[in-house]
Amino acid sequence: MKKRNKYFAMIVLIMMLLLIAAGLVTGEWALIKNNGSLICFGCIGIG
Amino acid sequence: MGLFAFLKKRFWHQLLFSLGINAHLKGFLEAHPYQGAAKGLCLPVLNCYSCPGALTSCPLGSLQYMIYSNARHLSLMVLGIVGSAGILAGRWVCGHLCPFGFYQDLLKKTTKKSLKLPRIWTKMKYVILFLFVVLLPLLLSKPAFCTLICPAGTLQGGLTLVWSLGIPLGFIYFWKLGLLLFFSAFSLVIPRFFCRTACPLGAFLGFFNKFSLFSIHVDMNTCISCDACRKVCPVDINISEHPASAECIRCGDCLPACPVSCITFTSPLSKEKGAFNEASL
Repeated sequence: MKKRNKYFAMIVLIMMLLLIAAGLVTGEWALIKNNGSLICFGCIGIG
Repeated sequence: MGLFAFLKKRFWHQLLFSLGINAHLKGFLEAHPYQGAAKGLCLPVLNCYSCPGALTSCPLGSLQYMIYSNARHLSLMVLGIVGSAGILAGRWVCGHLCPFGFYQDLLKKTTKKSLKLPRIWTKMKYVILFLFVVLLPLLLSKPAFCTLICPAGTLQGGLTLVWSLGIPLGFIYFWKLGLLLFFSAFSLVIPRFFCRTACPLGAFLGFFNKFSLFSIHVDMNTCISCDACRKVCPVDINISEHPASAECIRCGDCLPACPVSCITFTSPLSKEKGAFNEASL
């Protein structure tokens, strides 16, 4: 892997980790948890 | 080869991971999904969160939910998790961890017959990603991919839950059941048929194959262009010409097939290109 590509990938990785952190701060964990805890009737084909 | 050498085999990665993230056995008895804290986590694999055993949420379902719910934006956490997996290893998760990919691999093992997939079909997954995962949930306020396409939802949630719920089955259920049968039947003769044609998660992860930290390297000085890698490739790519192809699921089947061992996995920690060989998988 070229050094330039490696640095680019590292920067993108840091950005992705920041996105996760931003999602956690804005309360997405709870929203996703609540949504995932219910039966998704669309998923199982009766929604 | 150490004590955990068996874990390096892809089959075991797939089996243990698929069982591991669907280990809420009580859910099957009670016909109800798991509701613990882990459901807030979306792992970058296609695993329906309506499966009674699922411990984590589906990234595609959650992404659509955040679009059509009051939040009305792309989920930062889902994009971050899937993007991190992509930038680390590209579609390695498709080849080694995805439960629905594992299901298709098991189906393919039952037959020896193999058909070629026309290249144009592989473009369909990008249309599905944009249309069914982003645009339609925004316009219709419904999880369009889950409701109209996702065969993993039918397999894991539809077949296991619907009988115990006692709700009359309608057109959508049989449409989705038909799609599951369609993808399953084609997966018998075309390896990874769903992943290659219709998986939006694979389409998204594929963008990262070109610059992921963990990647495939082909030593063109050694390559004898024998095409042995293509013959064993489940997604029918010529890895020596396109080592960073968005279609590559990083399964590593081409590594042991190469007669001159010119295909290797590399990581940013490798001092030399090609620090991993097939024995490392």
